[in-house]
Amino acid sequence: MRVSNMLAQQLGVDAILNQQARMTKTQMQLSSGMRVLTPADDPAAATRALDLQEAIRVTTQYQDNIAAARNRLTTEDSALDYGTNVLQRARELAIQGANQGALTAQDKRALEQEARQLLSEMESIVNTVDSNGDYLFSGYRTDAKAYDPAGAPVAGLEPNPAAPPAYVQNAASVQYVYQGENSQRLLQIGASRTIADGDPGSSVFEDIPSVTTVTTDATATPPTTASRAFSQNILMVLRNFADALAGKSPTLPDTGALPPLVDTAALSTEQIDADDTIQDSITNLDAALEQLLNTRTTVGARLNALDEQESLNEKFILDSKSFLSDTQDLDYAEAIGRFNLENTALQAAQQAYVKVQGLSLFDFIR
Amino acid sequence: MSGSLFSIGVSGLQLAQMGLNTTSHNIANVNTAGFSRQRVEQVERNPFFTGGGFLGQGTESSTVIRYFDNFLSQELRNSASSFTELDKYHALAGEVDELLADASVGLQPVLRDFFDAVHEVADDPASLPARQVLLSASENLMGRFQALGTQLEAMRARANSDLESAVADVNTYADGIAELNSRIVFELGRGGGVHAPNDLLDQRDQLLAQLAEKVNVKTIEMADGSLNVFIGSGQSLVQGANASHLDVLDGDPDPEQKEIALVNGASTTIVTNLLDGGLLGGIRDFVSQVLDPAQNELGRVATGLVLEFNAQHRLGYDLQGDTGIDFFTSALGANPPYATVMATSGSTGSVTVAYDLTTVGNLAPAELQASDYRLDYVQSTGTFSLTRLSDDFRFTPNATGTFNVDGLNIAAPTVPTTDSQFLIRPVHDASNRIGLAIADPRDIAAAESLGTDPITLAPIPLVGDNGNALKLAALETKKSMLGGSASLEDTYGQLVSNVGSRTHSAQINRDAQKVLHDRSVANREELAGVNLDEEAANLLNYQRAYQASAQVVATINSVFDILFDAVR
Repeated sequence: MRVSNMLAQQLGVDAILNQQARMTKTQMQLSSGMRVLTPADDPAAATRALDLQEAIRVTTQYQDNIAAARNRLTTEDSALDYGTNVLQRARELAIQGANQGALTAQDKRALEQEARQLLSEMESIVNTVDSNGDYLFSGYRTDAKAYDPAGAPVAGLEPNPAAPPAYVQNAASVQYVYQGENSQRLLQIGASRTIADGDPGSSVFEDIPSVTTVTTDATATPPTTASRAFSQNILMVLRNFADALAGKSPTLPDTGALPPLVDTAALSTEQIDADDTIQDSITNLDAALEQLLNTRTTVGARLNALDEQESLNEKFILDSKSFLSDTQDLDYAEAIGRFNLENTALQAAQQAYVKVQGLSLFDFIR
Repeated sequence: MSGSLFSIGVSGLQLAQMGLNTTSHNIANVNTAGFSRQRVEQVERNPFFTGGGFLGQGTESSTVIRYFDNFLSQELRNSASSFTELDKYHALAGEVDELLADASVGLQPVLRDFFDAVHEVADDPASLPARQVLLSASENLMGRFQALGTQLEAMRARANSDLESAVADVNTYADGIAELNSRIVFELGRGGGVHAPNDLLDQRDQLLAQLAEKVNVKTIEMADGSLNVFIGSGQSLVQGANASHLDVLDGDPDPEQKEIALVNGASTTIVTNLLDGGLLGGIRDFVSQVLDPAQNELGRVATGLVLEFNAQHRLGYDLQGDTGIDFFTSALGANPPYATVMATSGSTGSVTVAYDLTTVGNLAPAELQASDYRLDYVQSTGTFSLTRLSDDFRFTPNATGTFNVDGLNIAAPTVPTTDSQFLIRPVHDASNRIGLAIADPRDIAAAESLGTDPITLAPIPLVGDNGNALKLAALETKKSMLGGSASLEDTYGQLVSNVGSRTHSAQINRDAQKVLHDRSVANREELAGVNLDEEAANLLNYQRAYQASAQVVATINSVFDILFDAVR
């Protein structure tokens, strides 16, 4: 084969340029740590890397959501814990108060004052705010208090001030009314898993099954009594308990499961038995306590679920990252070896070029 | 007898001189592109008949030839055409490839930030800072869409300017070939058709080779030595001493879609799709196979995002308890800002396009195709036909004369009165036109429902309701695109991998073609290239011949001296 000088020159230069291009690419891989520099290097790997990055990011967002949910649930848990303590203290007071005969008037007043104190503590518990200043127990209405501490005028049954212990209907009876909303906010914590980050006050503090003892026949000896069931919210339980310690009959809701306690016909025959109200309060406080504990149990279960999902997500992220690394990251040992090899090849190409170009017959014509 | 002796010596001297001349010419042109080495064809003179037999009369040159093989030259031109085509295609596609994948300019990072911000709003819907962050993330997202769209437009402008300069080169080469044609015909005539003007032929071949790098050519050599050059499917570029010219014309209706025309006197022929090979072919294929699809696919992601996000956003309630408004610039109604309709000149009537949102489950995003459409109206039959340009699929209109295809409603409210043609681009320009429709963070509709005031019973906003924000965040992974098989990011991923695979295969083809081209170059060089060692040997050879012939003359001279001395 004839070799023209131009071709020899071209081949020599091409060989050097090719080696340089290869070395530059390896150098870019080494400095970036990436095996795939552009999608064209390995389209399949590039697409897989996109998918993996997306999955990692979405799952990382789930982890953020878990942190937010845990923050709120922990706040709720402490609020409920505090509420439980308040109710337990109230129950202790009720047991002391139940022994009315052994108490002096001063003792009774002290008990009542502490019970009112517990009521105001419970008022602040139901209106707990989270770290963002949102009301925890107002459902979606996070900008409104769950209960107005001053109470709201609604229709209710109250002891008749003119003829206690008889009852009257009062359209403007001041009671605690739930002003929040009934939804649970859901947060996405896994690809197909959401969790409620709280409970609305309507499910935690409302509808506590309560009883009140009524005298069905005051003329009988002893008078015949009956226990009537109704439901009230937790603040009313505490307020009625404080009222009972003060010797007052409870304020009752005008609606609900309670059959008409008092109507014009029954006024003379059916009356709230004031002596039994403290005993009723103990029953009602127990019911409230049970309801709070039940909610706490679900909160605890949700916190556990968060932990479990978090470690699941953690593992997924770890696996995906390792897979991502396999997909796009550089094997340094291989790349450094390759770099050295290319370096040697470049030097060889350069030396060969110089040697070949140095050969000329003209050198021998003298 | 004596004259003949001198003449033999002189003929040797002359031939050796011609040889030295030609060798020097070869050495001088060792680096001239397209040069073919030359050689003096040395033959014996006619012998002189004597009674004692035929006496040799020395030597002469029959002609000077160049080492040339038409087949090898053609092979070289073809491989150069294919190589430059693939090389240009690969270089341009590589730019798009890097643009889309670069973490600092690609779409994924901002798309993720955007949906992260939606999640933050879902975590705390009452928080104004979280809502503000979402607005900023939306602005970043739009900015990135626009930046990508602008970059692709800039690549189109660059491809168009490359096209113009390549066409200018083609015209220069065509003129040069025509000029050389006339000179070669003249010089051949001067040499009686026996002696070829080797250097002119080399120059013409070199121009042809350069022309082939711009566009694939076919040649026919005429009896008079001129060469006719054809491009495309047989359009004549050079005919004897006459050259036609190529021109770059603005497309109709889109001036940015350039057309290549062959101008021959008064007649102009559009040859864009007839050409193949070379820079022209590479640029044209890049625009139609990489750039247009990339722009359409990017636009489809933008359109899908707008349609999906707006639809869900309108279902919610904002912080003031008002029904959600469009989050991004509205895509509702006929001729939304994202879509473009252009009429070919001479068309009449009007055409509207709208995204089809009437069908349950938001038909449009899932059905949208990354393609342009052409609507043709034939006046004589009064019929419309719609062609999807990505695969030339033809749709027939439904009973009311409109088209409900691919998530689009296409209609002609004013029927044309002449044959008309419309270019419809449902998504092509969307990434440049995406905009934000809300400015107040309180307008973000995170809530799914309204509450009721427990006392007044009036409807009130639920600031803690994150129901709609959750659904907006879920759009990130919702398989809303590509017939319900891909999420927004998947769709973008498909664009990245499409461009990546095209670039990858272009590189493989380019490298393969490079090997073939190198082989063609080597084959031609093997025959026609100058080897300095060989020329050095020739130099010595002719030098020796010259010395010997000179010695012959000197010897004859001394022979005559002897004779003269003898008769003195």
